[in-house]
Amino acid sequence: MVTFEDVKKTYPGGLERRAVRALNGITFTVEPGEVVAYVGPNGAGKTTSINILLGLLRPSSGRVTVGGHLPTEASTRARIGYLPERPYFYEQLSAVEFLRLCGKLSGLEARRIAQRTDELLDRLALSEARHRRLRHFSRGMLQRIGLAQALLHDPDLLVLDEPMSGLDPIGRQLVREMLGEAKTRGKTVLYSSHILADAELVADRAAVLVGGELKALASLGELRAVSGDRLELVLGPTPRVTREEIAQRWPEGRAVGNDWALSVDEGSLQLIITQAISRGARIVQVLRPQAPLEETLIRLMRQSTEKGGNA
Amino acid sequence: MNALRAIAVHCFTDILRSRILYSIVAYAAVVMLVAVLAGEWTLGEEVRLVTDLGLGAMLLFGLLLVLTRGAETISREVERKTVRVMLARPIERWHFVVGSYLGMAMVLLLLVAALLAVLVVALLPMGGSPSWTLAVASWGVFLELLMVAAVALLASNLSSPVLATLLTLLVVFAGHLATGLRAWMDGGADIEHLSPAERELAAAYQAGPLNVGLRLGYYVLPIVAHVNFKTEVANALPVPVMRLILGTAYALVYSGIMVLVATAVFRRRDVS
Ligand SMILES: Nc1ncnc2c1ncn2[C@@H]1O[C@H](COP(=O)(O)OP(=O)(O)OP(=O)(O)O)[C@@H](O)[C@H]1O
Ligand SMILES: [Mg+2]
Repeated sequence: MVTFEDVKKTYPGGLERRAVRALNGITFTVEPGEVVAYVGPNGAGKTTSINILLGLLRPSSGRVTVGGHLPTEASTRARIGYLPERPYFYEQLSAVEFLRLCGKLSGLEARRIAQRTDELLDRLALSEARHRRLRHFSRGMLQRIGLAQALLHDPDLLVLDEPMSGLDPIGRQLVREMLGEAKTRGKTVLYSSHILADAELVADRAAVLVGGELKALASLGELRAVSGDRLELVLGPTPRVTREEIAQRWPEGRAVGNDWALSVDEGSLQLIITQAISRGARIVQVLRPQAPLEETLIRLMRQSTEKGGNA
Repeated sequence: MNALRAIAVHCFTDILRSRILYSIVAYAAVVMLVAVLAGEWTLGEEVRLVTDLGLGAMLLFGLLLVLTRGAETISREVERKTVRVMLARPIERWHFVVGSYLGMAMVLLLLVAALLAVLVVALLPMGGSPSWTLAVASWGVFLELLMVAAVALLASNLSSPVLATLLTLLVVFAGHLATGLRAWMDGGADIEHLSPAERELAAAYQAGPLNVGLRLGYYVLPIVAHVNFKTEVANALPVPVMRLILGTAYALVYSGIMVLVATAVFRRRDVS
């Protein structure tokens, strides 16, 4: 659905500015019907690549296609719903007027616009404010109206630049629901986010962008699996040995109910299990703990910043 | 076409909503009223004086609007980032540029029509009947404003609002002086009054590359004399139909070319 092919972007310098290389050749594909979270530290180039995807910016080299077509063609953009990073809308318009303008620009009929406007304003809890000027909207309300205009023409592809920003918990829940619905209806979604807990809940895959380079594009499970070689071994007491005795032998563990959990590395697992059994302890479980995505990503980002200034 | 209309209407209402237009209309009305009062003291000549002043005020306030709003048409939207939601929708870039221009043109038409109405009402008590020539002269004012708005559109595409305003102002000035410039370039009648040294200078100039440069500049400028029908009105003469048609065609072609160039510039532009 969306293909980035070795996309590079350098913002030109000027008299007092240095040129900035924002994208250093990124290549990836978002399959139809897939929800991909776009994550990465501030200044990684997420917004830049999204702007290229919308045809707002031209890549310095490489190209982006949507369903095989360039975004500079108007018909390509007809299929895209876009939420900009910062909600700068015509503040002199009311919510309804703004959506009407958006609908007309998308070539919708007046009746359809009115119907969709009612639906979306209702859904996004903006019905009360429908005739209020956007100038008087709060930050979160602007974010909601931004979502409304992105969904207005029922696009096949949603490109959302930080959809959660500025929203209250209810709003974030709503966005998660809407993303889920879009997915069940077979829509494709690419959204950038700093809230990784949300990415974990909604996305099929995550694309990790650091310093203008794609560091990983994998399912969230895979990303976590990379996360380490530490295992958790849980030992339980038996009539032959108490938990306190186990704890004395391996003091670097922690209590889990009646049991004692140890973090061990892969290499020493065998030995510790043998020792534990010979002391009469019970092996409750061995598991590979899933590090939260947040930790995984922080490590990915750190790794690539340490490796070289470029990343 | 729907998109173009939507953008034009949006820009039209946007300008109408900004209070600047109301203040301009109000102020112009006041000026014309003052002119009427002044007319009371210039016996016999009132109609001519008020017509003159009225048309001048019409142009001045139109220019004021174009210079304040027209010269920031593009840059304002780009700087405020409001243009992004528009351009992310399935419209062509030229829709935005041409739509903005058409919106401005509609406002100018409305402004000129409103001021013409005020002027006609002001002239009535002095026995000035609403004449065809007055309408033609107003049409000329509108055409000039159209050209200036096209220049402003291009300028607003190339630079910041302040610079664009200055640039437009410069072009308007030059456009007003252009006819004199042309006569000088062609070595017209005036050359006889020159001293021998000056004449030599003029001859050298006419042969040199400066001439070519200036001539090019001349064609880039909006030659407002082509659409200035005020002299006819002031002297109560009819405007030849051919002059009206040619002037209108000139203004439309000139504006069209400027808008075309502005479109070409905007097409390749990054809006981040
Ligand atoms: N118009 C611009 N001119 C020059 N440099 C720019 C411009 N826009 C962005 N940049 C630079 O490009 C790099 C990438 O910025 P971008 O906005 O794409 O990052 P991001 O991943 O969206 O960050 P964030 O998470 O903070 O939104 C940054 O170094 C930024 O300073
Ligand atoms: Mg960003």
